[in-house]
Amino acid sequence: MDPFSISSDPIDGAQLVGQLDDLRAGALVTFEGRVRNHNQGFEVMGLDYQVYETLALKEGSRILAEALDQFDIHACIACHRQGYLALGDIAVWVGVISSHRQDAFGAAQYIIDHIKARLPIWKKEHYVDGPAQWVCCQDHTLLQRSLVDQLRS
Amino acid sequence: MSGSITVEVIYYAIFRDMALIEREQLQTDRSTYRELYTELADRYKFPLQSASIQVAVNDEFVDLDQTLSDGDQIVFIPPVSGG
Repeated sequence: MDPFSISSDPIDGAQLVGQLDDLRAGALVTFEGRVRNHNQGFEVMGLDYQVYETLALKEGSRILAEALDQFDIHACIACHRQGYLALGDIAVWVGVISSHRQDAFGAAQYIIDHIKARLPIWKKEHYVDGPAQWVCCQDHTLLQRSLVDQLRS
Repeated sequence: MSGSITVEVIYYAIFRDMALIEREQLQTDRSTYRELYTELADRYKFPLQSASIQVAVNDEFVDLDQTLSDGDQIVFIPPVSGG
């Protein structure tokens, strides 16, 4: 199985951790990004992830290769969801194993930061109080602020 | 039109919602990806300047100021929000 994957089905963290068995590893660090119920003060009901899959797979694999190159780790894997997700669902999962914990923490942080900044993936939030919106950028500012401000008033 | 080439443009996210299509074949005599984006942004009222986007051609990121080639498959990439 490729270390980086895009999934249309719910992410199974236990199944992914199973791919990281290695007796050299004294440390396993995992990160789960979950769908939260608020953004920028708005109540969120769920969201859609749209993925440019061919390029996202290439770029995701490159990020994992960079982590293997830059950190003293034994293995790393990651998976990102696409499609509709409900509150609490896992949107992205990262797992790293290393001999010592510092390397696994550092690599996990590197991988999630670069996934968020570089993968051609877009999030559309569905709100309790108004029409769905594409979220723009890493800092989660909303693309059409004027419309959002209208909703708020 | 003499000198024009044919490319395919694929839309995602806000661009797909505004163009109301997933992909289209275009004949163009524009010379760079940035010029083509500016034309399409004007046509479909995309709310983003070319400085805010990236472009992928044939499934690799390239510079917006590179020259278009006949047969290119082009994806203009609005600011990403994965994770």
